[in-house]
Amino acid sequence: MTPTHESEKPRIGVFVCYCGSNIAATVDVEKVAEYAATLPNVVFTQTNKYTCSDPGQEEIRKAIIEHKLNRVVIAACSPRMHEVTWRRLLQGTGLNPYLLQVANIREHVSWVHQDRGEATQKAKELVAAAVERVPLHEPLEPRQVKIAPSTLIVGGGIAGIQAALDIANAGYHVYLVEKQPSIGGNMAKLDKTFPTLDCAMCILAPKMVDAGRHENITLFSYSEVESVEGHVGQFRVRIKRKPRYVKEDVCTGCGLCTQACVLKDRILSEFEMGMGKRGAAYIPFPQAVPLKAVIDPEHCLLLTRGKCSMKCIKACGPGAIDFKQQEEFIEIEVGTIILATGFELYDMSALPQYGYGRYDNVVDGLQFERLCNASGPTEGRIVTKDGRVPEAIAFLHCIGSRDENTNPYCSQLCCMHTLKLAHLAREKTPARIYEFYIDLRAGGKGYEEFYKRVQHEGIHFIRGKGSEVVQDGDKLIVRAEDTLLGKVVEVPVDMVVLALGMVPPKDIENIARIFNINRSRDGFFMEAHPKLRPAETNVEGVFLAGACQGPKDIPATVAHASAAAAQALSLMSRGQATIEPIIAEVIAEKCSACGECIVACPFKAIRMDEEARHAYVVSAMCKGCGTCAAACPSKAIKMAHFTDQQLIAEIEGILGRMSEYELA
Amino acid sequence: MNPLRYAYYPGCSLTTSAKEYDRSVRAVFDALGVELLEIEGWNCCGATPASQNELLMYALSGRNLAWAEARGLDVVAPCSECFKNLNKTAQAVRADPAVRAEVNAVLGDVSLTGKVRVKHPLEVLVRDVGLEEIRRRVTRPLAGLKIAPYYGCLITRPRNEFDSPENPTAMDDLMAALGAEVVDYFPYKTRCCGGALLLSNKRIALGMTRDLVIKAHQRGANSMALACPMCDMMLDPYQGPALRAGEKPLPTFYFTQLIGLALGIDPDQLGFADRVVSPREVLAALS
Amino acid sequence: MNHIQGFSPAAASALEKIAEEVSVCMQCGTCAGSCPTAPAMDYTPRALMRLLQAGLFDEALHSRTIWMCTTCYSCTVRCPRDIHVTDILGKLRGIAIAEGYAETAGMTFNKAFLGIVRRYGRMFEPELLIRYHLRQEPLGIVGAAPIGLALLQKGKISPLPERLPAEGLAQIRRIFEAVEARRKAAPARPHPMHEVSR
Repeated sequence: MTPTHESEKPRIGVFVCYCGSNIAATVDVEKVAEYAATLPNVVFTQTNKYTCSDPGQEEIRKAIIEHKLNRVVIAACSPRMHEVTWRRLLQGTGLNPYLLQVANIREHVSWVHQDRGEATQKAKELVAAAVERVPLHEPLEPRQVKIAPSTLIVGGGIAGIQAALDIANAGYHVYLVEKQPSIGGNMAKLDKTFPTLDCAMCILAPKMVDAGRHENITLFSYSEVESVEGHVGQFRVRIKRKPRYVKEDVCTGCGLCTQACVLKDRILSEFEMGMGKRGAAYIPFPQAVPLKAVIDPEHCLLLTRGKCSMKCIKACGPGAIDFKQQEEFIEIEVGTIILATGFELYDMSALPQYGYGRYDNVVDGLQFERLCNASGPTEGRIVTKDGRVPEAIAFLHCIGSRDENTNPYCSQLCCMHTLKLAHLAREKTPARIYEFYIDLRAGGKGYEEFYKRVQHEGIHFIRGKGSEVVQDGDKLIVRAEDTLLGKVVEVPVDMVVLALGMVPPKDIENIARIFNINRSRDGFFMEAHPKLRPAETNVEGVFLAGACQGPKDIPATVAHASAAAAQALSLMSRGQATIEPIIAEVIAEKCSACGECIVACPFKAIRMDEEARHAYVVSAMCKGCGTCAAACPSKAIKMAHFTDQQLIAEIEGILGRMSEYELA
Repeated sequence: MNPLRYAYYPGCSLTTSAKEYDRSVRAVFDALGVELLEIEGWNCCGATPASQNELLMYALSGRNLAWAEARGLDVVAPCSECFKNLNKTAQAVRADPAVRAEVNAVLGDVSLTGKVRVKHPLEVLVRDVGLEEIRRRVTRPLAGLKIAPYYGCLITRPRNEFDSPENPTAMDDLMAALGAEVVDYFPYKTRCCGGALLLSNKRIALGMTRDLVIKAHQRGANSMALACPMCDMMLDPYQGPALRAGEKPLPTFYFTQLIGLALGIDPDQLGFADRVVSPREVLAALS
Repeated sequence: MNHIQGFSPAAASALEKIAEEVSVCMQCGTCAGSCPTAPAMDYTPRALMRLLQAGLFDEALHSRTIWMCTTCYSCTVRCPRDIHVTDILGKLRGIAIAEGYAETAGMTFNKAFLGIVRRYGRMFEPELLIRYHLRQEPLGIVGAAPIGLALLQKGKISPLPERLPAEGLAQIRRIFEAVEARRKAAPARPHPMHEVSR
């Protein structure tokens, strides 16, 4: 595309948006437009009810043509909202899309200020800044990149499995990386699922098997992503395969080694949430995919002490056990990435008042789930640690959720999860059952109906948060206020189940760093837009599936995973993507080859040309963050669209008007 | 290492009902080479009644803190109530410039910048002196004592940087370092003794105290370590009235008396004779 | 926007601040479930927060609850919304005294205590006990006598008050006066809640 009139004297059009009453209620939009008309190089101003709407855009298009505008300033919402929309609009008129500047007078003005006079003044200043800056804009040309037809999926819980199957079934290749020895995630630990009471494993296992066998899915279990380089369409991923000490291609999953292991039933099982035990040679659970044994290097006597009778080796017919295995690294290239790294349970032992980790019969929601499960450590019998059938069980909601001392957010699914556990307990025991809750949140298809069903089953609901649990002989005393009666109650029970609070996995910070994506205040990964782009991230080509973005139950997780898969598929089927031309460039003559920029770059996108003695930017890897330009002591790096001159002009725009304001 | 030096705020109780707390704190700190400079002309912190007006509490406490701050010293306050008021004041003055300005306006001739920190002796002993050092200095291990470590409310609540409000462990660790057996006194170790209601709701207050004694016996304790004059009032002179006929009394000590004993300080200097519930039998078991 | 009616401007101002803090209470009852004396209160701490949310300040100030608090801070430490319940109860005690609510045992104690601090700069227990018992239960002093005597024997009660030097005492009095002057001068702020009743 050839730029038309942008090299001539600047002819700026300023368009000020009402955004209905979003802006206009606080900012005098007409005054801002009148003021803009007085600024240098401004030849046209207009106000619009909704600048982003079709008629709004049409007016701008007409104005650009009629008034031969070669620069456009739009004063409206955050550029994160509609900058791309308006760039497309400019392009349609033949103007280079980067000759636009957006002044944010909504998020930065009307939504955060109350005084109309001051807000209007600030809006004027922001418009002045944009008007000063925009003449210095240079036309930039976006780059096209090819999208490799493959996806990396990190995490093999229900989210990762669902996304993998969606993509693989569409004919694209998937690399599914799971850090545990088996896929299945937290859903595999559940007994039944609310509100329909489907057996969790019965609906999950077929999907696990499909994912394990699919011709378009390469499964790397017991593996982790080490590093990622590149950009949308061409991510180079390095995967670490931890040694299983069992040859995957030889092991038949018969389990004889797990029976032979001298540490059999001596190590707390992660899958059983510490309620059951395993050996150092183990298969996590009967439906594991891949159904292969693994040897735990933290406990195995041979691997920790160098001495063991090695009964596992003798027991293994095919000779699959191999203590010489080492870490392996595999490099793959993919076009898109989906993160499905899930959640962990909040560590309730941080709240001593509930006795978790101190009293035997205080358990968390997933531990209770294992007690209910027929393949669990008690074969589905709900009993206390010392084998008693409980006479009373208390379920405490909101432990580790909705609490400024732990996690301020609601974990969303624990109300329903806890209701389901109460139902299972009612089915399996004659116990009196209490639910201590603050608010029962049963928003979802069939959820309120399930709540009513559980009420009908004779479960006692006490509206008050469990305040503390004290052991008294065989009994655990739950103290709380029945807030609807205004009376403090002390309820003796035999088991206490603490509702699960969901938190990001401990290694989420590392994952965020590897993929360079943002996290929200709750610690989970941040989506590109909370309503309209829930499965995308700040990095193009990297998508989110399931609870890694925030607490979700199974239906929401599956929907989110399919959304992420659809986003990835849409990119891959298009085959190519446009990437922003807003990147750094080293001006070779000014560069002293000091290397500061190479250290500063978070994307490893700058290299040193040792012969020519200057740094250079690998443009495909540059994300345009500008860190290098700020770090360069020789001012030898030019950040396109954020040049020093452009930024200074913007500041002068604000400061110049400020002084006028103070004089007035 | 520079010798440890603090401004010392005894507070009203330590000059009267808790005088053995005062004597044992001074003796133990002296033996450990920690210097205490008593704040000249200190005044009452206002205790619980001052909580009816935050500014009054800050100002009464702040007048004492100003003396220490002017000398570049942090403050040690053994009484839990004083410690809570002084520490809350120091925290508020440090964190909030508006509070600082208001407190200074009320104080008039002295003022605070917020630099001063307030510590309970437990923190000084465990953090600044260190358990290792104390263990090294023990000459008379407390073998035979089965101690229920009782923290009460106000050392770790509402908030303090040095120990958990729900399950503090500093005194447990300290008593173990002296060679005593420490019984697991969670969760009673931070339960309220009821002292604040001794006059106005005596029956309720004594019931709370009785519960503490009974639970300590149940956990196998033969003595209790205390860190607060109000808890002491309830658990020593008022323990008799709190217990029902036939219930066994439990000797209680200020934790600093026990440290002093283990360090080999003359028991007479530590005020054991001032205890109302006789400690003779349990101390005899020691030697 | 209403101003709180029926109170002195100083009390209305203090109540407005308290109402603002308790506006985020979600009525979970953690405070009551953690409170050692809640069963003896007329309103549990949670119910008291509700009175404050509803603008029923007079009921709150009449309640036995504010005088049953032992200031153990269990509620404050555990409150999921970080409301400083204990401190709020303390402030309500101050407002009840300043606004002349009927004298409770706790109120007598607080007044006597602060009076002594104001006079001597330090506590003087015998006077506190006498003043308290004279007003609340004259015969109670007989019951307290045996323990008092035991403490006197052990030198744990001093027969005479320990006063600060004159200069210190003057400072203490100035502090009390300045605090009281500021309390009275507190500016009233609009109350952001629904119709407030007294």
